[in-house]
Amino acid sequence: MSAEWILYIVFGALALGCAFGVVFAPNPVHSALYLVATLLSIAILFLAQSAYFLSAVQIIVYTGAIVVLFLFVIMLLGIDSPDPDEVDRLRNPGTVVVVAGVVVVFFLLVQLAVGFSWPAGVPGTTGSAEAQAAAGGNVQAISEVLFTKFLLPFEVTSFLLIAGVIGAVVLARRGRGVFGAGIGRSREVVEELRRRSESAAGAEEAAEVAAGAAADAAAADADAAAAESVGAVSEEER
Amino acid sequence: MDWVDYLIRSVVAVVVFAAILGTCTLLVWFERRGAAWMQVRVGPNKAGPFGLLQTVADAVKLLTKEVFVPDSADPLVYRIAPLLSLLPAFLALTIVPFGPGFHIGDRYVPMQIADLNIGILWLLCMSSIAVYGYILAGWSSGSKYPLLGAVRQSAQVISYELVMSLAIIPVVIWAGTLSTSGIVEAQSRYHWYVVPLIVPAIAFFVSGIAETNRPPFDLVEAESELVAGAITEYGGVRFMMFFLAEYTNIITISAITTTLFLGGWNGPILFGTIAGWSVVPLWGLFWFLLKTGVLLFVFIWVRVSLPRLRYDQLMTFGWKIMIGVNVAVVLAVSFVIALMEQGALPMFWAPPGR
Repeated sequence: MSAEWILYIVFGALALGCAFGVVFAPNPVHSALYLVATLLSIAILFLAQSAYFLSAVQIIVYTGAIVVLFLFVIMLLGIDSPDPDEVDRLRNPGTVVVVAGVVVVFFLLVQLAVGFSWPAGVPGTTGSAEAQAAAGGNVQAISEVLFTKFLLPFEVTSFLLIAGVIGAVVLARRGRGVFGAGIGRSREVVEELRRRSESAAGAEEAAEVAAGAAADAAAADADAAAAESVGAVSEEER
Repeated sequence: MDWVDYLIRSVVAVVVFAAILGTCTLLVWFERRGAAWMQVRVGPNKAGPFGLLQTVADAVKLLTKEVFVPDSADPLVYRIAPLLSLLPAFLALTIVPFGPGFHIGDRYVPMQIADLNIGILWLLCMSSIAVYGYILAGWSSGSKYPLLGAVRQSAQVISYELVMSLAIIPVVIWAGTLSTSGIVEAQSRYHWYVVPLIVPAIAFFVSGIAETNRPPFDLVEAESELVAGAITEYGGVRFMMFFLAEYTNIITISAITTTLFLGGWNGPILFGTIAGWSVVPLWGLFWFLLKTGVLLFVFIWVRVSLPRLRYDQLMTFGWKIMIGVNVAVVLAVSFVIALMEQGALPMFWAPPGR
């Protein structure tokens, strides 16, 4: 058995075991930690294939950014113990989920039965040190392929990411106008203030609304949605 | 690679590890004495000459304290968190070239623990794992202030990691390699990247201060609001691990800034022999330590001089200013390098690598 096989068995098993942990851990933070372990195991599998760049990117992007965001949301919402209804849904998954799972397993089995062969990789992206050196290095080989052979999928992926960002902005600023930060809202607030100040007991309430508007403006200042929520937390704390 | 080579590498690793611990001790001492000096105070001056043994006394105190887990804590995660903070801090330093390698007989002795071909990406890997130390510490303590510190930490680190990556890209484009030793060699003698790439250099150092949670970006452990932030519930040796990790990270950021922008071990004097032995490695080590030392001083200097930012200022500065400016710099540097390679622009400064 070569070292590659041993690494594959050990870390493949670890990745799979931790993936079960993600699904079955009762605590969402523990789930996220299992996810970290799964992603790190996969990074080591990449390393065993001598795909150094992929391994590094796997760690930087997935463990470093995405799971941290998961943890951020979990902590911010304070879901330490899961909703009983959610657990129930997990134990008794819907028909659609079961059907989808069966279909995926069926196709995997068919592939195995037919004798699935992996497409030969691009030279230099994985493999022995000599092969990588011949292609000018691991990183160079990947960038070469990414910017020539797979240029279109690469660029299309970036469009996909931009679409995601725009979607997030639209959702975060719903009701406030997409571009003018809170312009429509502040006009409403001014109207509200005028109406209340006309009524007799308006003074106190008006001050309240004004404070609310100020908080909104401060929140709109922070660009990232993440920053916004943290600002809100520290605001409450003060 | 036979066992002698492995032995040489192990010795290098042990020497570097010991040097880091020693530097941390000195740095803590200098932080207290230096801050006192800048603020016209006396500072710790009782233990040993100039109070040099104060840090040692503190370490002994922390090591002999009771090790405990709070009742409300998540026991396993609470225990793992300090390790997750300390381990990446040490691992990140493995890629720093401290000087030019040299030969003893026919054996090559590298002055660097590991010369990885993903090089500088290793720093980003390790800093992205190190985040978990603080986040998990904050969450697992089962207490209010640590949790708020952890939430702040996760948002802050993600934002400034982006800035850090963007600040590294121009260097990689110019040097044409990710390897740290390759980047140092590309800045031959005095062609340091800090001159053409002054903006990314500043951005890298500032985001480094933010990544290490040092003032003025220490909102994670802002003592006036959050007691001690994520590490409020920690004491004894576990607290010491976080403390050590913070100072190791300061050394890492200074060393990597030196490597990427200040020419690493390159210096104006890099030659000479004593009794037939080349002293180039010693000169290299000298220049490296000098430059890193100056940056360590800047860390302390900034801490003493600047007031803490507000959280929204921190985020606005990171997302609206730093990222925008750095994206523009990456584009500009790409254009300039492309023009230089096409011959449309004369090669200035260090020639772009391939």
